[in-house]
Amino acid sequence: MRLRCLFLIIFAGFLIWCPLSAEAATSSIDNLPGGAGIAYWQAGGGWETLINVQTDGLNCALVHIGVYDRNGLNLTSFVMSLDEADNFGIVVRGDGTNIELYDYSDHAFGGSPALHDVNTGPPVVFYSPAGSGGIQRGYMTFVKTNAGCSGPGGAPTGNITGTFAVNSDTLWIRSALINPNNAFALNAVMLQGFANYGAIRESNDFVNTAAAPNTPPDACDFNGDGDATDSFSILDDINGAEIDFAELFLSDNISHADPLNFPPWIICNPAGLVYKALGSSNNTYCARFNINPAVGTQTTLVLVAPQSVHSSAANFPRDVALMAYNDDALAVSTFFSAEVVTAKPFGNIPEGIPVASFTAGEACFSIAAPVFGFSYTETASFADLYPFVRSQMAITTLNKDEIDDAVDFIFLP
Amino acid sequence: MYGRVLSFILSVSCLLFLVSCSIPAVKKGPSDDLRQTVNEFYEFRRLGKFDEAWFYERMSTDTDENRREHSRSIYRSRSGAMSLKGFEILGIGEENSGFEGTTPVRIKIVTDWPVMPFPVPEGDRVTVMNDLWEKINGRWYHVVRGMTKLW
Repeated sequence: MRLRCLFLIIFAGFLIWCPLSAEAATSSIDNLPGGAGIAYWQAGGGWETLINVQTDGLNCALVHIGVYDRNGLNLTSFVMSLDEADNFGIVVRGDGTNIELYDYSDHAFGGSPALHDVNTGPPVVFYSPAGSGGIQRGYMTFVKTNAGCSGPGGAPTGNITGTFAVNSDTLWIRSALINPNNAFALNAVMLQGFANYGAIRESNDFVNTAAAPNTPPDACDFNGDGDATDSFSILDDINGAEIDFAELFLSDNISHADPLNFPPWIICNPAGLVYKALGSSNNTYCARFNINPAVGTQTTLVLVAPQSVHSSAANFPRDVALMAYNDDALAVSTFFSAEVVTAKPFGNIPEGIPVASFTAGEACFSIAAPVFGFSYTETASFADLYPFVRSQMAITTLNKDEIDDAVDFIFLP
Repeated sequence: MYGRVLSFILSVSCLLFLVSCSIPAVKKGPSDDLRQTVNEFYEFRRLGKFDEAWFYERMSTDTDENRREHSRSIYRSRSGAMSLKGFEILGIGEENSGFEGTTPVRIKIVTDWPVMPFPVPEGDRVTVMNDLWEKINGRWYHVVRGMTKLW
């Protein structure tokens, strides 16, 4: 009982200590279509990744794809075209040093020239060395970057890159991690009501939604440096729109202050409160672990903090405070600094997450940066994968009900 | 009479000869010849003979009997998720030069794509990778590479 109380006190302390954060989208709800998404990839060491992008039955898409390595370094970007009710796939392979990219099912509007079919090649190769575990890792971003579908045969037209625009939720993305013995399918993280920004300026592109009605812009010290005068570089490039770090936070996509001020706006309430769309809005997640020597099980925590190396992310560090407790409510705590893409085994081993003598339990952790990920449990012959449980998620209700009152977003649960 | 008996014996002998040539003989397990051992292992897997292939896995040498038998049970039931259609040894690396001191064997493996809830590439899945092997007590064993560790 005392240990339970102690755990609750420590856990509550984490919640109070950790700053909240926000996103340029309406929400990020699992297994829903979105206007942008992020998928994890791994390769090398016998692994490869398939990523499949699907459009709905009504809309074409020109999809901007950003490929990032485990340090958040952008390796390349390109675009691929989709017809309505269409899909294309990307294959990521590696040899421990370089990754090779291919595509498949790329037929719409003559196909996209950026990648070549996996059955014919050649691969498009990038240097992306493996970490200490011998596996290469990273993530890919996907943004619908066309403005319309008025080209020949319904081809995508226009490009929202470098502009303020709100995407419709017409994409969904699936991926599979494959090795010679196992294959795991999982949905990518999708952002609903994704808002792209042509500029991200603390003085111009934020709004205080605690007011009713909202009267943007409102200054916001987004990077926590004591002023509200910073302008952050955006990642949109000549190919298309990209997901900026600030675009991982809730946005107001509808409010107009006057004809010269138009949405979207990143929500930033008094005291610099911003609200994550990606990840947990109270910074807390839980993941299951199982490390039983008797049957040889082992668990790895895989955590992705997209775009968190950008200068705008300074107020959202990747420091992790983790509490691992067994199923009898005994607990042990640890702290570590996560990389942009982290794969950390549980257990009292070098670079492991210490769990005392626990063989199974729940690891709940807190991190300020918006993240997603999963825990991966394996034996010599079997493996399984579970996405993180988010303690809380936030949704901008204003964008859906268009009722501008003092509460323009909600938390679930 | 004598002719019929001789004919019968010859027929049976021919039949046995043909049968023994059509399937690999059940080997005693891995040997000190790496190339031969790799070939045998993947041939067993190609034929779906996972009971035999098990003895070429490093995990079959686990001295913890309960853990070893638990792994073996799962190995038998979970193997074959992606049917092995073919393989080719492309090269054998320097002994102990691979990840965590294993010996890499460059191999091309041809399988089906796994059944996925979304479209996968057409045709076969052709993978070229460094397969890992370890010599234990003079015999070569296949090392399974997990996400967390080598098994």
